[in-house]
Amino acid sequence: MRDEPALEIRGLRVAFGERRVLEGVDLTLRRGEWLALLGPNGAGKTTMLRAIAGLLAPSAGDVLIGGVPVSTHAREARALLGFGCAPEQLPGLLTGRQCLQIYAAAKGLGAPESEVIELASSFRLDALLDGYVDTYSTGTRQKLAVLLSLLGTPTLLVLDEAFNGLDPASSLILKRHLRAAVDRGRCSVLLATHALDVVERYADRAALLLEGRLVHEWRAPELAALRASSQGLETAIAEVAAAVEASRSRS
Amino acid sequence: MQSRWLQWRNALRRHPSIYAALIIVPAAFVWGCSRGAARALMQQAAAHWLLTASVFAALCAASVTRARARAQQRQLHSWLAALPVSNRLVVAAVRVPLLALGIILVAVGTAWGAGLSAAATALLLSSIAGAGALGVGIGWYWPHRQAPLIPPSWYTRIRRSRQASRHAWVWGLGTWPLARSQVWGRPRITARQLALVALAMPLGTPAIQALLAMGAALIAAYLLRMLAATVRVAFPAARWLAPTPIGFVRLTCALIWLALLRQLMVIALLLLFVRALPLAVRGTQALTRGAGCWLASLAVSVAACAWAYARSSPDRAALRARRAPIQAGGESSDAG
Repeated sequence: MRDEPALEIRGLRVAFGERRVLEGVDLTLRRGEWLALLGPNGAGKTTMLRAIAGLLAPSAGDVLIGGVPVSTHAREARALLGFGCAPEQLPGLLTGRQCLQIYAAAKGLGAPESEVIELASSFRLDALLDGYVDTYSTGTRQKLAVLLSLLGTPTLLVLDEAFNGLDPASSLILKRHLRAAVDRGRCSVLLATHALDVVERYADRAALLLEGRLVHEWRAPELAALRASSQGLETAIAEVAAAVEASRSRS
Repeated sequence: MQSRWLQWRNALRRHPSIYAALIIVPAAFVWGCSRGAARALMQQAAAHWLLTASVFAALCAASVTRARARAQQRQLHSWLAALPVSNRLVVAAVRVPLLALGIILVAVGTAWGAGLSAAATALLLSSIAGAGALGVGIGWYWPHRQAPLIPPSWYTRIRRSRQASRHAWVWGLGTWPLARSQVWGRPRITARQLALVALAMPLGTPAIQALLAMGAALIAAYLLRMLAATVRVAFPAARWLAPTPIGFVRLTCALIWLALLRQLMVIALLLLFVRALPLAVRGTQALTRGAGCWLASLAVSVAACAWAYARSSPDRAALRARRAPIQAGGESSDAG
């Protein structure tokens, strides 16, 4: 099981009624790897992450987390998963500390790990933990959502726009923390984001999702080259998107 | 001088509870105590004036110290923190001693009217006034521990909370329905419910029956609110915890235990109350009805949790039935 990839997706399809959101997505994420999922709004990034976490039923295809299929062994797969929920899904009528305690217990832990508590301190969150989540700002909720996803030392960390609303200092702390965890081989990160600076500087790979399909992938050397060049990832994405559009219009 | 007076008046206007308390509490006191009793009480107080004054001074000092610490803590987070101590802070600090002084003055006045001697009255008033001033002064100037400073800034140091409990505790989930129920049971909403009950009663209803009906309505509303809160919270709770390996039984127990315990306690108290009333419903019949209500609430709560759990992640039900297992790996333990 140790040699299994952190995430394996085979032919994943998701449809909402007649509308097909994901069309046969194949993806493999090795252990100790950070993959950034890019794409315009409505491309299917969040849907893909929710399907990975088992929150959506795919029309076809398989998702395996650490070699464990989500469809048939959901609890075992979820024990290996850290999912950063949307900040608005956090329970507003519980305190931040209660959220940590409950989530840790739900993940089968005896207590929230000291590493997560220390990260909360680094976020300057510990002074706010005894307040109700309803009283938190967007950024504070985002921090709490990230902390919850890190509980239980997950094999696969799935984050959706995790840097939205974070102040620059907290954002830097989180990037470094995730990078260190990935470098130690403790977890793999799948991050859906529009923050291209994070992708260029911290991710090992980046994949572009357009209209439900993975159309292009950049590996670490290519990302490093883009970072060094004046062109940057932004232009590269635009070029790929234009090429895909042109080939579709031709066909 | 006029601006000073206006400042004080505005500060007092922000605390209308002082006015209300100064009128209602002494009036209730006078109404509740006979003049003779007030005179006897004040005579005793005058005979032990030193003890009375000491107790009053201690009360004032303790109250002012606490109120001042709280007010200063709030002031730290105010955008007016750089200004000198405001009248508002002073009013907030001395309102309890003022309230106590008002009550005592009314009591002394009542006793004086009932024949308390002028010497005893003067002794009592002077000792109380002196002790109050001394207590307020001690409370205000007593050096107290600096309140923990939690500035919302990146560029200053903060103290860590010392009450950090670090144990995982899934049963804390049970406080969520309670909080939701409290949100729904705000005094304004409860007052409207009671007004509806009062309007529904025919004219000429005896007072005891009206009170019983209102009490019953309050209890029924509480029980229903708790049940509705459990059902309402089950869905977001299941959705929030869906990416974790928590099972159905554990989620359900953690979510509903506290609400059901509260309902059980209220029903038990209600049964004890019913036994003492001359009502048609008594004994075994009441017990059966109470147990029935609680079991119905339990059934509805569990059903809501089951529905929420199934909806929170569709793969649990739909996928497993529809698709063949990908890998041989034994039975799935998702049943919880």
